[in-house]
Amino acid sequence: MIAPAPLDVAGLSVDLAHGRAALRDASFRVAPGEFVVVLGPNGAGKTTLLRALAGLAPARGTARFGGDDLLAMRARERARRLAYLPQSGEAHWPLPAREIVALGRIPFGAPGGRLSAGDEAIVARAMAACDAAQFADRPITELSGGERARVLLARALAVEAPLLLVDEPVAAADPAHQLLVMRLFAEQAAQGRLVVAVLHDVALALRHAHRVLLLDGGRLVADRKSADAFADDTFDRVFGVRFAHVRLGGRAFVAAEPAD
Amino acid sequence: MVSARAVAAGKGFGRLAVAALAVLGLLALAAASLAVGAARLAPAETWAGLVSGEGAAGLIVRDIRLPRLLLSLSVGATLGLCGAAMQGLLRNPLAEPAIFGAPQAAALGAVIVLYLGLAEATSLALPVAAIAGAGLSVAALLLIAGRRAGLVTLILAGLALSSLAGAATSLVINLSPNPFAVTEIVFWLMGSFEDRSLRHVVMAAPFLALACALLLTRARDYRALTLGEEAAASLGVDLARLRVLTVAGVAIGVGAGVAVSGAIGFVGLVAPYLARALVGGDPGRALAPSAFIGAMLLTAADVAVRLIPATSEIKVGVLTALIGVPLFLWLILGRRARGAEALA
Repeated sequence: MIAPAPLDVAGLSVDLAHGRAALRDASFRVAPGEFVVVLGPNGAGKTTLLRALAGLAPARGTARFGGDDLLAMRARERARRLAYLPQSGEAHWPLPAREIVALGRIPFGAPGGRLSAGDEAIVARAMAACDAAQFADRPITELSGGERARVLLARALAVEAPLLLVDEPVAAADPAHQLLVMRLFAEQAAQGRLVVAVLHDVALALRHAHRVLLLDGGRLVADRKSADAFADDTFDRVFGVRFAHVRLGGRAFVAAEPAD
Repeated sequence: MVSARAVAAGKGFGRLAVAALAVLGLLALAAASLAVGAARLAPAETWAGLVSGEGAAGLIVRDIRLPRLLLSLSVGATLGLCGAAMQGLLRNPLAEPAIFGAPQAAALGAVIVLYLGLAEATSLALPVAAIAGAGLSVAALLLIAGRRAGLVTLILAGLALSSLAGAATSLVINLSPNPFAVTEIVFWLMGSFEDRSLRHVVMAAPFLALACALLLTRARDYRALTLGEEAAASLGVDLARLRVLTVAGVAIGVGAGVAVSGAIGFVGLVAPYLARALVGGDPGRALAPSAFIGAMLLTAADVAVRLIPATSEIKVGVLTALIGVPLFLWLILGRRARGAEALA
């Protein structure tokens, strides 16, 4: 169903105004079936990295995906290869949640906007996967922050793109839904997709992601398996804390302690 | 339990009923517009006059009332659509061209070419100047209000732009050659369909049609913008192109409308507001109904001004503002009540 293709990012840089760099020369590879989390302190360039891959920030370098460069691709073509969920969680009109999710089918849709039976099934599946089916008929503007975030995540899933880029998908979620979303990303990866997520919760990331990319001041300072995150003191230095960590039954338990 | 298909069929039937009612309503309004006026004609006389075009009734119905009807329908539809498009682009139900003085700016453009003696009342230079005026106003609003046009920014930018259009119009009145010109300019700013001929209809029609074609085809993009600019762009929407096409469509629609009818505001606020209530808030699906409701509203208003007893006929632009401004205030109060996020 999904042609397995790796994402090869080389020399990805994004300049801000005044010559400051938001992202400097990032190079990494994401293999099909991998769930990768981007970590870093506030302002490290995590969102910029996702926006650059989604073609939303003027970037230098290359991001080869399935033989083509995402950065040089036409927007219409890119829209079928990747789904991007921004952090903002915007939803401006009181559309029923089902129709919000159906917006994810736009890259494949007829201009008239009518959904095929196949599209309807994809929308229903995406809502069920995000535990949002019960909101289908409610206007999105009347949902709580966490509920709205799940509907918007379902919208991104409904694209069924081979590359899923998500920015802070669980910031407003309760613990049960944080776990649901993490498991969902693992499943999406298991189907052959590539999932790249920005998270703030280091413990959650190391528990569920296959691999972590650590950004600091726009530079990629670590790219390692989750299990090897604390092989040296890089994480402690970048975040300015001391991470206490144990493994119990193969699971990582992580807590941040004051550095001193 | 009712199956999803039955529910959908029920919805489809409901929609069909609403559409049938709307068409009947529009026909009734059109008939009223042909039947009502300074000269009293019985319905049978009106019909005979329309069909045969003979005699006094034929003259009144075909040459006076029919152009008036055609203009109120086409200008109303275009203004309703222009409002819906601006609101779709800015994701804000208050983004009505009249709020930021687009009709005033268009009227200013028309007045300048007309009273500086650059053009006659039915030459092409008039709509072109009006479109240029409206275009400047719409483009300036997008530049000032920027990409995330919150309520306060939008209203303040609108205030500044409409004040500027007002000041420039005052300057033209100030410099105008004679008192007759001043009276004409003031009438122009109030907007009316009195004394229009088929030449006005023919002059405006291509522009109005072009504006509608530009805006109606953007339904998918406005719908995608529900998710904000970044998500819409990631779905393949070309935002730069969308902005240019929307500004062009709104400028052409408002400008051509003003060139034949003067400044008429708030149809683009009221019509999309009602249309979105019908289609469940969808900014893309609201486009065509906004045009339809706009045509109905402006025709109804134009019938109303002929029925309201007054020493001289009330200008239709005055009536639409009297209805539209309270709705505008009510919408602002509703947003304020919902909290600070709407004000951001």
